Amino acid sequence: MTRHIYLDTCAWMRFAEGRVGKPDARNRQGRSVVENLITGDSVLATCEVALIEFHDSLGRRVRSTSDRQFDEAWFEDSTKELMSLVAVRRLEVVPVPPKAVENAMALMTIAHRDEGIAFHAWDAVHLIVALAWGVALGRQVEVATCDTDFPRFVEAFPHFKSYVTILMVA
Amino acid sequence: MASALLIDDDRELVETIRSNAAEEGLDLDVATSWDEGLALFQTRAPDLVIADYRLPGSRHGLRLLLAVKQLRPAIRVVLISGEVNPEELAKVEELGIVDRVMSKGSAIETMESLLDEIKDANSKHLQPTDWPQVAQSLVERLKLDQKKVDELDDRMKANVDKKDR
Repeated sequence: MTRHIYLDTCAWMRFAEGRVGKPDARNRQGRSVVENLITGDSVLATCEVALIEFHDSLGRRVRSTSDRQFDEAWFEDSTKELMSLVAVRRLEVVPVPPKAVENAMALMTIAHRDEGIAFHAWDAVHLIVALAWGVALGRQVEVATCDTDFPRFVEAFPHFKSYVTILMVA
Repeated sequence: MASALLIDDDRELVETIRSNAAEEGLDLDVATSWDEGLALFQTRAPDLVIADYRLPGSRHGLRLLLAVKQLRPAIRVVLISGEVNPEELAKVEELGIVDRVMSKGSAIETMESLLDEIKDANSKHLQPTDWPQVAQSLVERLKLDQKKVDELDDRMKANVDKKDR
Protein backbone atom coordinates (compact mmCIF):
# COMPACT_ATOMS: atom_id res chain seq x y z
CA MET A 1 0.00 0.00 0.00
CA THR A 2 1.30 3.46 -0.88
CA ARG A 3 2.50 5.45 2.10
CA HIS A 4 1.26 8.99 2.62
CA ILE A 5 3.83 11.13 4.37
CA TYR A 6 3.53 14.70 5.66
CA LEU A 7 6.91 16.42 6.17
CA ASP A 8 7.17 19.23 8.70
CA THR A 9 9.63 22.11 8.68
CA CYS A 10 12.47 20.47 10.58
CA ALA A 11 12.46 17.53 8.16
CA TRP A 12 13.03 20.01 5.34
CA MET A 13 15.72 21.82 7.33
CA ARG A 14 17.65 18.58 7.86
CA PHE A 15 17.32 18.00 4.13
CA ALA A 16 18.81 21.45 3.43
CA GLU A 17 21.48 21.40 6.12
CA GLY A 18 22.62 17.92 5.18
CA ARG A 19 23.50 18.99 1.65
CA VAL A 20 26.56 21.21 2.15
CA GLY A 21 30.02 21.10 3.64
CA LYS A 22 30.56 18.52 6.32
CA PRO A 23 27.13 17.93 7.76
CA ASP A 24 26.90 16.49 11.23
CA ALA A 25 25.53 12.98 11.67
CA ARG A 26 21.98 14.19 12.35
CA ASN A 27 21.80 16.36 9.25
CA ARG A 28 23.43 13.65 7.13
CA GLN A 29 20.89 11.10 8.31
CA GLY A 30 18.00 13.54 7.89
CA ARG A 31 19.09 14.36 4.36
CA SER A 32 19.37 10.69 3.49
CA VAL A 33 15.92 9.79 4.87
CA VAL A 34 14.19 12.67 3.06
CA GLU A 35 16.07 11.91 -0.18
CA ASN A 36 14.87 8.32 0.01
CA LEU A 37 11.31 9.50 0.52
CA ILE A 38 11.57 11.78 -2.52
CA THR A 39 12.96 9.08 -4.78
CA GLY A 40 10.52 6.48 -3.44
CA ASP A 41 6.89 6.03 -4.38
CA SER A 42 5.22 7.48 -1.28
CA VAL A 43 2.80 10.37 -1.62
CA LEU A 44 4.50 13.37 0.00
CA ALA A 45 2.90 16.50 1.41
CA THR A 46 3.73 19.59 3.37
CA CYS A 47 1.83 22.83 4.00
CA GLU A 48 2.34 26.55 3.55
CA VAL A 49 3.30 26.93 7.20
CA ALA A 50 6.26 24.64 6.51
CA LEU A 51 7.17 26.74 3.47
CA ILE A 52 7.27 30.00 5.42
CA GLU A 53 9.04 28.40 8.41
CA PHE A 54 11.60 26.87 6.05
CA HIS A 55 12.16 30.25 4.41
CA ASP A 56 12.61 31.85 7.84
CA SER A 57 14.96 29.13 9.10
CA LEU A 58 17.17 29.32 6.02
CA GLY A 59 17.55 33.08 6.56
CA ARG A 60 18.41 32.57 10.20
CA ARG A 61 21.12 30.06 9.29
CA VAL A 62 22.61 32.49 6.78
CA ARG A 63 22.63 35.30 9.36
CA SER A 64 24.28 33.14 11.99
CA THR A 65 28.00 33.83 12.09
CA SER A 66 28.93 30.45 13.54
CA ASP A 67 28.64 28.42 10.36
CA ARG A 68 29.89 29.95 7.13
CA GLN A 69 28.81 27.05 4.93
CA PHE A 70 25.25 28.34 5.16
CA ASP A 71 25.64 31.25 2.77
CA GLU A 72 23.40 33.01 0.24
CA ALA A 73 24.14 30.37 -2.40
CA TRP A 74 23.02 27.68 0.05
CA PHE A 75 19.87 29.71 0.77
CA GLU A 76 19.00 29.90 -2.92
CA ASP A 77 19.90 26.29 -3.73
CA SER A 78 17.88 25.02 -0.77
CA THR A 79 14.88 27.13 -1.77
CA LYS A 80 15.18 25.91 -5.35
CA GLU A 81 15.46 22.28 -4.25
CA LEU A 82 12.26 22.38 -2.18
CA MET A 83 10.25 24.53 -4.57
CA SER A 84 11.22 22.32 -7.53
CA LEU A 85 9.53 19.42 -5.78
CA VAL A 86 6.37 21.50 -5.46
CA ALA A 87 6.63 22.73 -9.06
CA VAL A 88 6.82 19.22 -10.52
CA ARG A 89 4.07 18.10 -8.13
CA ARG A 90 6.28 15.60 -6.36
CA LEU A 91 5.38 17.41 -3.16
CA GLU A 92 1.79 18.41 -2.52
CA VAL A 93 1.16 21.58 -0.49
CA VAL A 94 -1.96 20.65 1.44
CA PRO A 95 -4.22 23.38 2.81
CA VAL A 96 -4.26 24.51 6.39
CA PRO A 97 -7.83 23.69 7.47
CA PRO A 98 -10.19 26.35 8.82
CA LYS A 99 -9.88 26.93 12.58
CA ALA A 100 -6.42 25.29 12.61
CA VAL A 101 -5.00 27.80 15.07
CA GLU A 102 -8.00 27.51 17.39
CA ASN A 103 -7.73 23.71 17.33
CA ALA A 104 -3.96 23.80 17.72
CA MET A 105 -4.41 25.81 20.91
CA ALA A 106 -6.59 23.00 22.27
CA LEU A 107 -3.85 20.43 21.55
CA MET A 108 -1.25 22.63 23.23
CA THR A 109 -3.54 22.92 26.25
CA ILE A 110 -4.04 19.18 26.70
CA ALA A 111 -0.29 18.63 26.29
CA HIS A 112 0.73 20.92 29.13
CA ARG A 113 -2.39 20.61 31.30
CA ASP A 114 -2.92 16.85 31.18
CA GLU A 115 0.63 15.58 30.64
CA GLY A 116 2.95 18.46 31.52
CA ILE A 117 4.71 18.20 28.16
CA ALA A 118 5.58 20.79 25.56
CA PHE A 119 3.80 20.91 22.26
CA HIS A 120 4.66 24.13 20.51
CA ALA A 121 2.44 26.32 18.37
CA TRP A 122 3.57 25.42 14.89
CA ASP A 123 4.05 21.75 15.79
CA ALA A 124 0.40 21.67 16.82
CA VAL A 125 -0.59 23.34 13.55
CA HIS A 126 1.44 20.77 11.57
CA LEU A 127 -0.35 17.98 13.42
CA ILE A 128 -3.75 19.55 12.68
CA VAL A 129 -2.85 19.81 8.99
CA ALA A 130 -1.64 16.20 8.88
CA LEU A 131 -4.79 15.00 10.66
CA ALA A 132 -7.00 16.91 8.21
CA TRP A 133 -5.05 15.50 5.26
CA GLY A 134 -5.52 11.97 6.60
CA VAL A 135 -9.23 12.53 7.20
CA ALA A 136 -9.65 13.90 3.66
CA LEU A 137 -7.85 10.83 2.28
CA GLY A 138 -9.73 8.49 4.59
CA ARG A 139 -6.52 6.89 5.78
CA GLN A 140 -3.72 7.07 8.30
CA VAL A 141 -0.76 9.27 7.35
CA GLU A 142 2.81 9.50 8.58
CA VAL A 143 4.34 12.69 9.94
CA ALA A 144 8.03 12.94 9.07
CA THR A 145 9.82 15.12 11.59
CA CYS A 146 12.97 15.38 13.68
CA ASP A 147 11.15 17.00 16.57
CA THR A 148 10.84 14.68 19.56
CA ASP A 149 7.78 16.60 20.81
CA PHE A 150 5.69 14.78 18.17
CA PRO A 151 6.31 11.18 19.33
CA ARG A 152 6.03 12.34 22.94
CA PHE A 153 2.63 13.90 22.24
CA VAL A 154 1.31 10.89 20.35
CA GLU A 155 2.53 8.51 23.06
CA ALA A 156 0.79 10.65 25.69
CA PHE A 157 -2.45 10.73 23.67
CA PRO A 158 -2.47 7.36 21.89
CA HIS A 159 -5.87 7.89 20.27
CA PHE A 160 -4.02 10.10 17.74
CA LYS A 161 -2.29 6.94 16.50
CA SER A 162 -5.50 5.98 14.70
CA TYR A 163 -4.84 8.91 12.40
CA VAL A 164 -1.09 9.53 12.34
CA THR A 165 2.16 7.72 12.95
CA ILE A 166 5.43 9.51 13.49
CA LEU A 167 8.45 8.94 11.29
CA MET A 168 11.61 10.36 12.86
CA VAL A 169 13.94 11.45 10.08
CA ALA A 170 16.88 12.18 12.39
CA MET B 1 -12.27 17.81 10.21
CA ALA B 2 -15.59 16.75 11.63
CA SER B 3 -18.53 19.09 11.92
CA ALA B 4 -20.37 17.52 14.81
CA LEU B 5 -19.94 14.92 17.51
CA LEU B 6 -22.75 13.08 19.27
CA ILE B 7 -21.92 11.26 22.51
CA ASP B 8 -24.73 9.14 23.91
CA ASP B 9 -24.93 5.57 25.15
CA ASP B 10 -28.48 5.23 23.83
CA ARG B 11 -27.46 3.18 20.81
CA GLU B 12 -30.89 3.34 19.21
CA LEU B 13 -30.93 7.14 19.31
CA VAL B 14 -27.34 7.34 18.07
CA GLU B 15 -28.03 4.97 15.19
CA THR B 16 -31.22 6.79 14.19
CA ILE B 17 -29.51 10.17 14.15
CA ARG B 18 -26.46 8.81 12.39
CA SER B 19 -28.50 7.27 9.58
CA ASN B 20 -30.68 10.36 9.21
CA ALA B 21 -27.61 12.61 9.13
CA ALA B 22 -25.99 10.33 6.54
CA GLU B 23 -29.12 10.45 4.38
CA GLU B 24 -28.91 14.22 4.36
CA GLY B 25 -25.19 14.11 3.59
CA LEU B 26 -24.26 15.58 6.97
CA ASP B 27 -20.91 15.00 8.61
CA LEU B 28 -21.31 13.47 12.09
CA ASP B 29 -19.05 11.51 14.42
CA VAL B 30 -20.69 9.37 17.07
CA ALA B 31 -19.44 7.88 20.32
CA THR B 32 -21.18 5.84 22.99
CA SER B 33 -18.85 6.57 25.91
CA TRP B 34 -17.14 9.65 27.29
CA ASP B 35 -13.60 8.33 26.62
CA GLU B 36 -14.43 7.53 23.02
CA GLY B 37 -16.09 10.93 22.64
CA LEU B 38 -13.15 12.78 24.16
CA ALA B 39 -10.72 11.02 21.79
CA LEU B 40 -12.87 12.04 18.83
CA PHE B 41 -13.19 15.58 20.16
CA GLN B 42 -9.40 15.92 20.37
CA THR B 43 -8.55 14.28 17.06
CA ARG B 44 -11.44 15.39 14.84
CA ALA B 45 -11.98 18.93 16.14
CA PRO B 46 -15.75 19.22 15.75
CA ASP B 47 -17.58 22.56 16.04
CA LEU B 48 -20.54 21.03 17.86
CA VAL B 49 -20.63 18.53 20.73
CA ILE B 50 -23.95 16.98 21.69
CA ALA B 51 -23.67 14.90 24.84
CA ASP B 52 -25.93 13.05 27.20
CA TYR B 53 -25.60 14.07 30.86
CA ARG B 54 -24.73 10.62 32.05
CA LEU B 55 -22.29 8.59 30.02
CA PRO B 56 -20.30 5.44 30.62
CA GLY B 57 -16.83 6.51 31.71
CA SER B 58 -18.00 9.85 33.12
CA ARG B 59 -18.90 10.73 36.67
CA HIS B 60 -20.03 14.32 36.38
CA GLY B 61 -21.57 15.42 33.11
CA LEU B 62 -21.36 19.16 33.65
CA ARG B 63 -17.70 19.16 34.62
CA LEU B 64 -16.90 17.17 31.49
CA LEU B 65 -18.76 19.55 29.23
CA LEU B 66 -17.00 22.42 30.94
CA ALA B 67 -13.70 20.70 30.16
CA VAL B 68 -14.68 20.73 26.48
CA LYS B 69 -15.41 24.46 26.72
CA GLN B 70 -12.06 25.04 28.40
CA LEU B 71 -10.29 23.59 25.39
CA ARG B 72 -12.45 25.24 22.73
CA PRO B 73 -14.30 28.19 24.28
CA ALA B 74 -16.46 28.92 21.23
CA ILE B 75 -17.49 25.35 20.51
CA ARG B 76 -21.25 24.82 20.65
CA VAL B 77 -22.23 22.37 23.35
CA VAL B 78 -25.69 20.83 23.59
CA LEU B 79 -26.62 18.82 26.67
CA ILE B 80 -29.35 16.22 26.24
CA SER B 81 -30.88 14.25 29.02
CA GLY B 82 -33.85 12.07 29.72
CA GLU B 83 -33.18 11.94 33.43
CA VAL B 84 -32.28 15.39 34.68
CA ASN B 85 -35.32 17.37 35.81
CA PRO B 86 -36.33 20.49 33.84
CA GLU B 87 -35.56 22.92 36.70
CA GLU B 88 -32.00 21.71 36.88
CA LEU B 89 -31.63 21.84 33.11
CA ALA B 90 -32.83 25.46 33.25
CA LYS B 91 -30.16 26.22 35.86
CA VAL B 92 -27.49 24.68 33.61
CA GLU B 93 -28.58 26.96 30.80
CA GLU B 94 -28.69 29.97 33.12
CA LEU B 95 -25.13 29.37 34.32
CA GLY B 96 -23.93 29.38 30.71
CA ILE B 97 -22.07 26.08 30.95
CA VAL B 98 -23.63 24.82 27.73
CA ASP B 99 -25.27 26.60 24.82
CA ARG B 100 -28.45 24.59 24.83
CA VAL B 101 -30.10 22.00 27.01
CA MET B 102 -32.59 19.52 25.67
CA SER B 103 -34.81 17.16 27.56
CA LYS B 104 -35.28 13.92 25.65
CA GLY B 105 -38.96 14.34 24.98
CA SER B 106 -40.59 12.64 22.05
CA ALA B 107 -38.11 10.73 19.91
CA ILE B 108 -39.14 12.54 16.74
CA GLU B 109 -38.84 16.01 18.26
CA THR B 110 -35.46 15.19 19.79
CA MET B 111 -34.18 13.83 16.52
CA GLU B 112 -35.41 16.80 14.52
CA SER B 113 -33.87 19.29 16.92
CA LEU B 114 -30.57 17.46 16.91
CA LEU B 115 -30.55 17.20 13.12
CA ASP B 116 -31.10 20.97 12.93
CA GLU B 117 -28.11 21.50 15.21
CA ILE B 118 -25.99 19.15 13.10
CA LYS B 119 -27.07 20.91 9.88
CA ASP B 120 -26.12 24.26 11.35
CA ALA B 121 -22.69 22.96 12.43
CA ASN B 122 -22.11 21.51 8.96
CA SER B 123 -22.93 24.84 7.34
CA LYS B 124 -20.42 26.67 9.56
CA HIS B 125 -17.64 24.10 9.61
CA LEU B 126 -15.55 25.59 6.83
CA GLN B 127 -15.79 29.11 8.14
CA PRO B 128 -12.70 30.60 9.78
CA THR B 129 -12.45 31.07 13.52
CA ASP B 130 -14.60 33.91 14.79
CA TRP B 131 -12.01 35.32 17.21
CA PRO B 132 -14.26 37.92 18.87
CA GLN B 133 -16.67 35.08 19.64
CA VAL B 134 -13.84 32.88 20.97
CA ALA B 135 -12.62 35.74 23.15
CA GLN B 136 -16.13 36.49 24.44
CA SER B 137 -16.74 32.81 25.23
CA LEU B 138 -13.39 32.61 27.00
CA VAL B 139 -14.15 35.66 29.14
CA GLU B 140 -17.60 34.28 30.02
CA ARG B 141 -16.15 30.90 30.92
CA LEU B 142 -13.54 32.53 33.16
CA LYS B 143 -16.34 34.40 34.95
CA LEU B 144 -18.12 31.13 35.76
CA ASP B 145 -18.40 30.33 39.42
CA GLN B 146 -16.78 26.89 39.56
CA LYS B 147 -18.27 26.24 42.99
CA LYS B 148 -21.78 26.76 41.66
CA VAL B 149 -21.08 24.44 38.74
CA ASP B 150 -19.74 21.73 41.05
CA GLU B 151 -22.71 22.05 43.42
CA LEU B 152 -25.21 21.85 40.59
CA ASP B 153 -23.37 18.92 39.03
CA ASP B 154 -23.33 17.04 42.36
CA ARG B 155 -27.02 17.73 42.89
CA MET B 156 -27.95 16.62 39.37
CA LYS B 157 -25.92 13.46 39.72
CA ALA B 158 -27.45 12.64 43.09
CA ASN B 159 -30.97 13.08 41.68
CA VAL B 160 -30.20 10.93 38.65
CA ASP B 161 -28.70 8.23 40.89
CA LYS B 162 -31.77 8.41 43.16
CA LYS B 163 -34.05 7.79 40.17
CA ASP B 164 -32.00 4.70 39.33
CA ARG B 165 -32.49 3.15 42.74
